[in-house]
Amino acid sequence: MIIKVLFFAQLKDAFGVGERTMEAREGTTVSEFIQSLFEETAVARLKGLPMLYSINEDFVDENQALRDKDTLALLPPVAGG
Amino acid sequence: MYITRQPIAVEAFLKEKPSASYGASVHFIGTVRNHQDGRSVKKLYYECYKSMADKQIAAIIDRAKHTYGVNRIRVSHRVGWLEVGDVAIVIEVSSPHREEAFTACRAVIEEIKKKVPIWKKEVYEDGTSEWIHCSHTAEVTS
Repeated sequence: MIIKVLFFAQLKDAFGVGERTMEAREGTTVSEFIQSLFEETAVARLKGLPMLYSINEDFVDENQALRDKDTLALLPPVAGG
Repeated sequence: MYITRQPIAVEAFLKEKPSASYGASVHFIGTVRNHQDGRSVKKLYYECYKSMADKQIAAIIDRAKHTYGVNRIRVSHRVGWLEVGDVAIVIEVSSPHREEAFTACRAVIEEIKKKVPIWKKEVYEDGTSEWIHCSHTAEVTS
């Protein structure tokens, strides 16, 4: 299945892009997907960054299973206002 | 909707008067300050997940109206590059009486700081820059 992944702030800097389209195995959870994503050398130093996740603009738990065509956003600690 | 890349027209925002039945309007204006943890801030960059940020602010407004019984809440948050002194956010809360307006306004800005997907990069006078970590308490609703 195809997943759109969005990166923001320090993650966008580290991945070098704000968005990626990636393949994932059916039934993959957010945490499984993230684990494989952070194996990339360029972003390994950010592995411990506290993050929240959203799928299609709603906050989700890391145990949530991804579905085809989902938009997964990795949300580092926010600082608006 | 609530997020803008343009400078916030504060005077125009304040001029928009609420209904005659409201006796209290509380405004919060957040500006870019020139220091953070002892470092001199030159400017900052707000990055945003705009579609989700608009949804989150709408949800915060709905919750505050329901929780505090206030009638009108308006929010405008600027993103992109901001200089020291620029207005980053304006909030208006109007209600028949002042007490709930003050309480709701405080609640709205605190929730925006914690739950809305907006990130801040500070650029310092010495040329360095840093993404700022605030708290992270958004609720997972599904």
